Amino acid sequence: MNEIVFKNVCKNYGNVEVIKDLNLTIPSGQRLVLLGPSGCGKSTTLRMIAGLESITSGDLFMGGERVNDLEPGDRNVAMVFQNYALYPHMTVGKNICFGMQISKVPKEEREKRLKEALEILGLEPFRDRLPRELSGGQRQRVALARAIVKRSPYFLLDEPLSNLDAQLRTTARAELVKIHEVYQPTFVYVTHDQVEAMTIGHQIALMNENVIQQMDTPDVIYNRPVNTFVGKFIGSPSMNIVTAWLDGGRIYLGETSAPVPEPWLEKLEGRTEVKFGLRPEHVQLSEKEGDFPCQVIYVENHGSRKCISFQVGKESYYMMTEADFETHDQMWLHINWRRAHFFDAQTQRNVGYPQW
Amino acid sequence: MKTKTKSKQWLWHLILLILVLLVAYPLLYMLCSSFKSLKEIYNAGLSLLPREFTTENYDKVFSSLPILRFLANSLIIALIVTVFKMATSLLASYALVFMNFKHRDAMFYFFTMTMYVPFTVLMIPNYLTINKLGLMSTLVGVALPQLADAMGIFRMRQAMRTIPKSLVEAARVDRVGHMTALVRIVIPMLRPAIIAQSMIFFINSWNEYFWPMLILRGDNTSYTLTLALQTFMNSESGSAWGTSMALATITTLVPLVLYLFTQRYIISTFMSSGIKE
Repeated sequence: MNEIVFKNVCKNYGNVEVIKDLNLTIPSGQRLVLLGPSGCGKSTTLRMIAGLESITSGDLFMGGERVNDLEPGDRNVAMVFQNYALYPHMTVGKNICFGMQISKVPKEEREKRLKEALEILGLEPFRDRLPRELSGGQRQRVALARAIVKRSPYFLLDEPLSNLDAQLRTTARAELVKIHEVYQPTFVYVTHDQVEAMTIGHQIALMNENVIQQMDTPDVIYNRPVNTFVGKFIGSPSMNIVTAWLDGGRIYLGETSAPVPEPWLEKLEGRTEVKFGLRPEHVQLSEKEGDFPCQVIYVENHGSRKCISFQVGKESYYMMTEADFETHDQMWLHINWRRAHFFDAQTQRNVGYPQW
Repeated sequence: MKTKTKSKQWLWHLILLILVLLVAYPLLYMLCSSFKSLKEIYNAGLSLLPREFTTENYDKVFSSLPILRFLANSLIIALIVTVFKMATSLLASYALVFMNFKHRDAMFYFFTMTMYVPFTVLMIPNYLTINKLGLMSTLVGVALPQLADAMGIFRMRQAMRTIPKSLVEAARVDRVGHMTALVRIVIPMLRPAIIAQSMIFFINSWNEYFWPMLILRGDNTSYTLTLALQTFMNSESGSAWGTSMALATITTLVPLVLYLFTQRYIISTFMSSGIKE
């Protein structure tokens, strides 16, 4: 119905390639999060959907119709901008109604939608205020209300929460999901914040260097990253990824080694150098003898959890733990093999996972 | 420390006072002289207040010339020029700031380059064009070559660049056309800058002497106020300083009143660099 499909879409600014051969299908009514570091092309992708950026080559379909040459206004999208883009000389009510007025929505209907949006977002007391008289969180909600009243089948959000403080962000995230659930538009959300991506997206498309690295559900992206970039980008602190060597059924991290269990041996057959990945939250350390001897460097207290920095050989690793952690002179790293990741040393691609 | 800054402040005020006097004295002299008799003007030197207050200069101005007609002519030309210059400046600068097209920046530089072409170079081709169009001795003939202005485009573009692009983009996504976006979003945000620039356009046109003199020849009912000033200045019958001063005072009155009403916008525009959200 309202799916968005990119077919071999490229975008260049002069000689600079911003999007390389993008193929992406966003199913109708889903929440897709475009995630990636700054400059990866995620905002450009969103702006191409809105029609604010032209497409150099390839085709973009929305609801089955090719929209390459359609003006932004004819695509029936609602968009929330990072700086909210509220008209400073219009009151909250006028800001929200302006688009409807232009689209000639009848006055009664306009009033009804305005009332509903103000109510949902708790903005009723601010109807006659100017944007400059509102706090950041209130402005953000006005921008959201302006998008809601359009009743558009496509909802585009360009880092809408990045100007809010941490606490507001948490509530605003929940609000966004709630609103999506009420109106069920196809929802495309751009962010560089992985927590937002994980909490909001049905699916995440993780972009880097103008290419989608992986598109999947948050669970799969977290548990089965396709390459070292995805592994490192998702998770905080990021995944420990180190170079390891395999020899005689053992894995070498620096000078010390440990046996590799059977299922992994099959998967890693024929490889000598690999990238070994282990998430900090899956690391186990104890004074009981285990796979690798290690030395704790320092302990950071995050309140609910502790972040422990330690070394195996010369490489540094992180561990997150909820337990009261006590350091001892000699600690051991226990590898939870079911939580381990291996990547090709050259291509950085995931080698896959064994059947347990 | 405190006395030092205070004496410094006094010094600044003194300098400012001298500057104000330098600017204001000729204006005051003009105003006062317009109420003096010709004899007194010649004898009084630089003293300001008239010893014998007389309105005879004004009587003479109004009886010998169709002053209201000239005032209307000046107003019509200045208004046409101001409105069109502002409209063209706004349209061009909107396109230069908010629309994407090839050679956009080159076009802007081309516009600004025309600022460096002196009036004297354009005078003859413009004169010939107006003549060919049969617009000699008409107000339209005076206004026509002045309907667009590179300086205005430059100033309005600079002002528009302070508006976040996303405002216009948000409007575009909401099906707002470029024209509506300009009128309903951009212009309301630039009101101070537009008023200030319009004042500059108006006063420039109002004060213009040479170009109207070329076009409005012979038929003196189409004269502007500035052209009328010269009728009291001629070598044959001697210069009528009193009447000249009276007419000059009348000529100054309109821009002065306009300025009084718009000064807060003008000052705010020149003090701040624009709107920042």
